Parts: sequence; structure tokens; C-alpha cells
Amino acid sequence: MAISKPDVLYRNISHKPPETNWMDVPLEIKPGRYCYAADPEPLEYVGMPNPRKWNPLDDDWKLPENWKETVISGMKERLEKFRSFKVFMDICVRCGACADKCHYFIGSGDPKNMPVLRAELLRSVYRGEITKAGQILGRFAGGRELTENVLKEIWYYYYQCSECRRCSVFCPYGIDQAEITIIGRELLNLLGLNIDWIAKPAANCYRTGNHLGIQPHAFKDMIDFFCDDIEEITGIRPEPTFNKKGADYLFITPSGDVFADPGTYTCMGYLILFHYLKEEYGMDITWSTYASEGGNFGFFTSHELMKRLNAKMYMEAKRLGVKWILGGECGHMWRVLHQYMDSMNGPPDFLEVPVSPITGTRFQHAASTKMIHIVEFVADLMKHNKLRLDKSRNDNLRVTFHDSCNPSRGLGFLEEPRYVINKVCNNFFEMPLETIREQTFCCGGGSGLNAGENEEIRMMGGLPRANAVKSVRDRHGVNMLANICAIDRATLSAMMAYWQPDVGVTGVHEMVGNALILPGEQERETDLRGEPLPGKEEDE
Amino acid sequence: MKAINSLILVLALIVIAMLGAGALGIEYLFGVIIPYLAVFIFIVGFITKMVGWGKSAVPFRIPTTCGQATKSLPMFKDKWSRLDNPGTKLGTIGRMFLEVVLFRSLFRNTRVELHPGQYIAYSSSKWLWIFALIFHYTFLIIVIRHLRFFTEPIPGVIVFLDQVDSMLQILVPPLFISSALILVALGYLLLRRFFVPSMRYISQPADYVPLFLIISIVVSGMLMRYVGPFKTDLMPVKELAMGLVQFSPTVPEGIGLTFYVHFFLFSVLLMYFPFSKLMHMGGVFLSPTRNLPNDSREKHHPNPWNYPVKLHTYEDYENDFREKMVEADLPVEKPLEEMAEETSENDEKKE
Amino acid sequence: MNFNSMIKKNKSRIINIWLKKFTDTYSEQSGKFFRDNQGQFSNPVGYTFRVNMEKIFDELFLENDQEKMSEYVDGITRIRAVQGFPPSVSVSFVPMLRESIWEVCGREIAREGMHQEWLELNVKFEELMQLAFDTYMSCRELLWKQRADFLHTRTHKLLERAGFITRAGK
Repeated sequence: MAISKPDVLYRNISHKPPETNWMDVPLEIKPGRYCYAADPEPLEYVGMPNPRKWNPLDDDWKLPENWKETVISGMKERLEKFRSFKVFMDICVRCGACADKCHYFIGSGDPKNMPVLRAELLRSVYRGEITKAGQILGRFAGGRELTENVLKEIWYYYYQCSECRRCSVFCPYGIDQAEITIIGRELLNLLGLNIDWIAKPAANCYRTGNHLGIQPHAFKDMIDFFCDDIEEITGIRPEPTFNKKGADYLFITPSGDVFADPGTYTCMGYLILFHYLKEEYGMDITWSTYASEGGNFGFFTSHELMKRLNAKMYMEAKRLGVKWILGGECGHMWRVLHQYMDSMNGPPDFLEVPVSPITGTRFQHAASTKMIHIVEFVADLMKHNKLRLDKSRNDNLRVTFHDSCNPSRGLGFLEEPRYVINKVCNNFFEMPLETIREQTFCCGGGSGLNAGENEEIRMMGGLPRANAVKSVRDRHGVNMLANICAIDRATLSAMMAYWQPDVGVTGVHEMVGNALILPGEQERETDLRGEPLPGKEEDE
Repeated sequence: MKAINSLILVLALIVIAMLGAGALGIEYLFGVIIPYLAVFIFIVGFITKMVGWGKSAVPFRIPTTCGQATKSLPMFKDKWSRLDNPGTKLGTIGRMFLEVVLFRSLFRNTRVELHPGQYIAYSSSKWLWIFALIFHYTFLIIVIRHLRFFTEPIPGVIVFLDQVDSMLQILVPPLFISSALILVALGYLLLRRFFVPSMRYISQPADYVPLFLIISIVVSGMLMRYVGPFKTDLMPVKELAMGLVQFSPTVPEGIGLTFYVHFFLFSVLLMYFPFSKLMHMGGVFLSPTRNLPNDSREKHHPNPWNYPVKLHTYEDYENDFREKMVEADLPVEKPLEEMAEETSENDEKKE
Repeated sequence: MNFNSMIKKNKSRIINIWLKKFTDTYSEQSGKFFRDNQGQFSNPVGYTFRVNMEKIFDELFLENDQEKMSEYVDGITRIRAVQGFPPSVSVSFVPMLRESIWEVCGREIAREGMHQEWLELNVKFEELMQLAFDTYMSCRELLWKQRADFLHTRTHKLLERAGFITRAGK
């Protein structure tokens, strides 16, 4: 027989690691899964420790002399500052309920991407270095010594967690890996172990007000470009104001909307909406170039840096003398605003409890923070029929909605976007229940992991989402994936290009912008992307 | 390996009890001193741990929201989400109740399968939920049942529980349903750690030790009740137990060795409890992702250790970009001329 | 019994062995997860593998529609292309199918003297391998293209040229 033993050829290829204790599996930093190290400049600019050039692939990470004491004392400090951390270090029973809930594990199969094991990486250090039992019994008590390799492993896997909190939904004790990752990263940052994709935007945001380092005049120019486009499409030019003292409301959105497609179309949607509200109801909303970033990469670095970046919102609202703040579509931005801002930088007594000047609705649930989500604001307008809409302009779209991790598991912001979508488009289809709402899958790029160099892990992490999109594409012909998050818009675009090239990505307010009928507008031929509207294709 | 080590440890404990209370004849140690010590360690350890957690700050409101927010526009109110994403204290109590009593989160393991034939099948992986529930409740029932040794007269509730638990009337004396069920549940919890590779991978000795310990306790207890040579006379046991609760401990004659093994293992479990993962019993109540209402935009919750931080103020920003802002017609606080004058003033001062 | 129906008769056994071999390229924990979890959404990797393996198997004995076959091969290869395997291992499902069939039916093939048919089937495996290789490369190229695009986003370049972007710390 020609091929009597076909097995021979492949017998030697096995990627099965031998059955060893996970603590003994040597760390292999794989290209495509890790992000480049932070440059010294951004760290210096915000005053973070140990700025230097280093490379994760090198043996020497150029750690400070006393790095071990720094981590251990940092841990002890945080055990007292965060009950979450202390309880989560102690009570996990390793029941495995979370094990297969992480999108990175589901896509990659790397066992250390199981949330329980990701947590154990740090927990083993806690036991081995801090608890009595672990110090005496060592391995038998699940403890281990903090060595450089252990530290590297924590770094590698804590930058493979997008802080999406899906594991926390299924944990019987609510153990939240996001919380452990946040604190783990804070510890790593004590040693200057940040990644470039987080450190740079954070420093930029500190200086210029936004992640991309767009200077004030350029920020204004970008928005002017959008106004040009809007004028071309609708015949009407929005006149946004910037840094306007005495404006009634301040609008803050992630800078990704001003800079990166397809977020830019969402930004055009905001501009159209604000113009409409100004013309019809005299609502005076201003943009700020100083607080021109809704996102907060400080959140992915340390609680302190998060507070420092977030402080700009209230400071700017105070300086401009607005009544309250309106926030754009963004995921982690809204988690920070909803769960952290008021405790960090509030309460902002100089602002008023948000009341819609158009409908009179009082946003009691934002009574202390005084900041509301543009989607809830618009939902309220729609409920009171305050917007003239032409839904049919979105008839070419067959839409599904991706719940972003933070609005769903950090706020419970589930119905608001669905309400708005259904008001502006006729074809809406839900993905399977276990992939949306509180069980939604991350886009794969959250928590500052949307760098170019780690695209492979992001593709793996995005597979569960892409797979759910595929199912509605196959069944309902869905061709558009809507979301309310700037990181989603960036990440999912690349994701869809790889997994489902015939499905596009849009922000909810792009669809609102398309449907909204501006007073006195010309007959639109194209949508905001410059593509012919349904029924106008022949006129091209 | 981890499992074997753990098993050896538990077997060693059994041998210790047999040697101590049997061969060496120091029943007083195993019947009185160690149990007292165990209860003491358990109570002090448990409280210390809880207080330790309680002392740690809760700087931010971080509930994991598992449904539509109740603190949102009235048009989005959803009756059921109150328990998965409560905005009030009462709702949060409800959420904690479901979590603690019914293991709500474990129940979430639903799964929808779409088969090629376009039909949808709902299957679920609720085994863990079911067996976890069985284990915890049978354990609770067994603990309550044992109170009959420590009370005189025995409260009606315990008598009733006894009757219900043994209503199947199999074996003599009648088999307690709870004893049989707890073994099944423990078997499930143990076997999945052996046979599911990912479970085997994540399991620690700290996971096997309590399982082996509890299994040994249950088995030794059942031996005393059902199996000839191990059968134990309950009267002296009750005498010992009553002595313990009345703080006039005596060690009556005629208690079998099996009892001491049983009693010692349980004492070890009590002592081990506060230092182990078993503390999830107390910890679950303090989990900030579950026990806080989602009202962080409505109410101000101060962070107890909030401290001032270095900020990049608007002034810093304008100083950095004033020229470009003016050029782009963006309003500024200080016009350019002033700025120029100020700089020259400063220069003069320096000179 | 003819060659094709003999193999088709053993379909479920062959697919199971095939899937086992293929998922054995992962660590034990994840291999088992990919194999055993039947959820379409809770285990997209395993589900996609199984579904497409069945389709490839069926297609092999049908008219061999190139387009459909590409789609099925794509389903598996697209996942493997981002999982960090060497290229040969990424597409190893093709030789593994041959191995699986041989393991199940090899003895009978030899006994019945169906060597000619087996060789013909092997030609199909070669074609399948080429298809898998092309798909793998197109996936990798797409990834690199995305990365290149990402680095040269037009807007970004424009902004930079106009001196609009400044980096903190410089």
C-alpha cells in the first residue's frame, strides 16, 4: 500500500502540552498576542514610575531594583483600599463556571485565558507572598513566589483581558476578573510595565484633551470637515460652537468619533442632531476642545490616572457654566462616568439635575452625576415625537445590535439603544440571546487592546461575536452591525472585514443622522457615507 | 498529584483520630478539647475574616448589571430586571437572596443551539447548578439534623425534619435522603475535577481537601448508622454532646472509634474553614459586584480614601495652545496681548 | 459494496476521529472544550470545525463543487490562521482526514483491493490541500493588509502632514 501509515507524517507534531501543573508551564510570549511596551516619554509626561525603553521579548525588562517589594506592598495597600480585591482574592472555589465564558479562551483555547486561571496568576502570588498558609505550605496551599517569570506571565495575560466582565455575570460570588485585571495592571504600572497603546493615548489625553493628540485648532478643523460633508449631503450647514461660555449644555464624546471611520459618520449624526435641536428648540450645546475626550485610557492604567483624566469633564463644565453634560456613544467611557466619576470627582454641585429642555423629562437617575447618555436623551425625544424622522432612508440596512460590554454589564443600558434603533430603521434583528444583553461578547479590543501588533488575539477574541453575527446574516440577511461604542466601531470594522466581510459597522447616531429630517433640507441623494440612499441608486 | 496528596492528608487525619482516640485512649482530647478548640477557631477565624473584609474600603459602586437598569427612564422599566440589576436597597436584598439561596448566577448557564436543520434547541449546562444546590442544601439539612444531639428536649422542627428526611423508609434504621443525595452531589463535584481536563487543570489541593474531608465525614457518619461493626450507640454520644453545650464536658464510656473519627474530621473542617475557600459562605455577602444597588449616577457615594491628584488644568492647556486657538477663532480666557505683556513682565522681574 | 458508500457508511466514526485528531493540536483542556461543547455560540470554534468537516466530507463524494468546497475549507482555515499555529499545522486537517479515513476503512480498502479508488481519492486530498493553503495565505495576507492600512490611515497621514498631531512628551 502506498500510504500504509499516514500517521507517521504528523505524529511528531503535537501542540498538546504535557499534563503539568499550570504553575510549571513556561511562559511563551507569542507575537500577535502581546502589545508593544510603553515608550518612556508618555510615562514621564504623566509622572508614572520607571519610564525606560524596554521590550517584552527581551530577558531583561529593566525592572527597578526593589520591584518585588513594590508589587507586594502595592498589593497589600490595595487589599485595604478595595474590598472587591480582597474578597476576590479569598473566596474563589474554582467551580469553573467562568472557565468557558471568556471570549479570548473561546477563540484561542489558551487555558490561561480562562478567567479563573487568569485570576489565579495573581491569587497564587497573594497566597504565596501574603497569606500565612501560603507562606508555610507553599504550593499545597496554592501559593507561589513572585519571580520575574511570574510577573511576566501576569503582564502577558493581564493585557489579554479586555475587562469586559462577562465572567462576573456567571460567577456565583460575582468575582469580576475586570476588577482583578484593573488592580493587576495598576500593580504592573508601579514598575512601568504599561503598553504603548494605552500609555500614549493616556498621556495625549492629559495634555491635548484627547487620545490622539489632536490640538485644539485641528479638532475644530476636523469637525468643520464633517460640516462640509453634511452641507453637501443635506444642503444645510451645522454651526457647532466650541468652548462657548454660557452655553447650556456641554457635549463630550470619544475622540475616536472625530477621527476614525466609521465613528466619523456617528459624529456627523451628532452634528445633524444638534443642529436640528438648535433650529427647532433653541437648544444650545457646545463642544470642548479641552475636554475633547470621552474615553479614558487612565482607566486601563490606574485609578489615579483615571481620576486625573476624568477631572477635565467637570472642570470644563464649571468653567463654561453649562447646566449639565451630555455624553456620546462610548463603552468604557460610560462605565467610568456611571460607576466612578461621581465618587472620584463629584458631586458637581455647580451643575443642575438634567432636565430635557424640550420634553421636560427629568433624568432623576443622573441626579448626582449630572451627565446623561445621548442615546437616553434621544430616546426620550423620540418617545415624545420631538424628532421628524424618515426611517426609510435606512431601508438598505438590515441591522443587528452589539451590546458593548460596559453599557450592558456596568450600567444595564440595554433597552435605550434598541428603542432608538427601532425608531430610525425598519429592519432590526437580534442576535441569539446568549450573545447579547448582559451576556454579550466583547468585540475583542476593549481595555486598550486595539493595537495593531496584537491583532491575532483580537481576531480570536472577536470570533464569538463574529460567529453570532454570521448566524443573523445567514438567517436574516443582516448587513449592518450597530453599536454604541467607539472602540467597537474601530475593532469590529477590522473584525468584520476578516470574519464577515459583507457586514458593516455603524454607530446608532449615524442612523439617526440619516433618518433625521432637518428643517429646510434639500432632498438627500446619499447617506452620510456618500453612498446612494435606497431608491436613489439609479440617479448615481 | 494534587488530588492524591489531598487524599493522603485526609487519610492521615483519620489515622490520627484512630490512633489517638483508639490506641492511645485519649478520648478526652478528641471528644472535648479539640472540638472546643475547633469551635473557638471557627468562630474567631470566621469573624476575623469577615471583619478583615469589612474593614477594606468600597471606593466605587461596581455592581455587575445583569439586566435593564431600573434607574433609567420610566419607559424602560422592566419588572424582572429589578432582581438582576436592582437600583434600590430592597431590590439588592432580593438579588442577594436569589444569589445566596438559589445560586442565581450559576443558573445562567443557558445555551441555545441552532442545528443545521434551522430548528433551535435549548439545552443547558445546569448540572453544576443542580448539584451545587443539592450539596449545599443537604449539607444544611444534615447540620440541622445533628442539632438533635445538642438539644433536650429536641425541638419539633428538628424532629419533623428527621421524619421528612427519612420518609422513604428504606433500610433500618431508615435511610436519610439527605445523606444519600449529598454523596451523589459530592461525587459529581469530585469527579468533574478528575475528568474534565480544564477542571483538573485549575483545581488545587485546596479544592480536593474539603471534598475528601466532607466525603469522609459523611461516610463515617453513615457507617455509624447503618453498617454493623461500626454501629454506634447514640445515648453516650448525646451525653457527650449535651455535656459540651452545657460546658460540663464528660466523656462517657462505650462510644465507638468511628464516632471519634467522625467528630475529629468535623472539628478539622471547622478549624480549616476560616482559612480556606469555604469562606465563600461569608464572602458572598460582601461581594461588591452583587451587593450594591446600581444607583451611582443618582446618588453621591463618597470614596473614603479619595485624595487630590495632579491635574492638567484648562489654564495649562490654554497656555500650551493659546496661539493656535486664537488663530482658529476658538475663544480663550487670556487674549494673546496680555500673555505677551505678562511674559515681558516676568522677564523684567527675572532680570 | 462500492468504495464511496463504504466510506460514507462510516461517516460519523470518521468525523469523530478526524475532529479528535484536529483538536488534539490544542492543549488538552481546550481540545476537550472545542470537541465536547456542542453550543454554536458558546463554542464557535468547535462548532465551526464540526459543521465544516461534515460538509467537506459530504462534498468529497458529491460533484466536488469548487466554490462550496472553498467555503467549507475557509470556515476552518480562517479560524486556524489567527490561532498562532505554524502554517503546516494550521491546514493539517486535510491530511488528518486522509488518516482518519484510512484508520477506519484502510483494512477493508486493502482487503477489497480498492487501491485504484484510494489513489483517486488521494488526488482529491491533494486538491483540498492546495485549497487550504491558498485560503490560509489569503487570510494571512488580509491580516497584514489590515495592519498596513491601520498604520497608514489616510486621515492620520493627512493630519500628520498638516502638522495637526502632536505627541505628548515631545
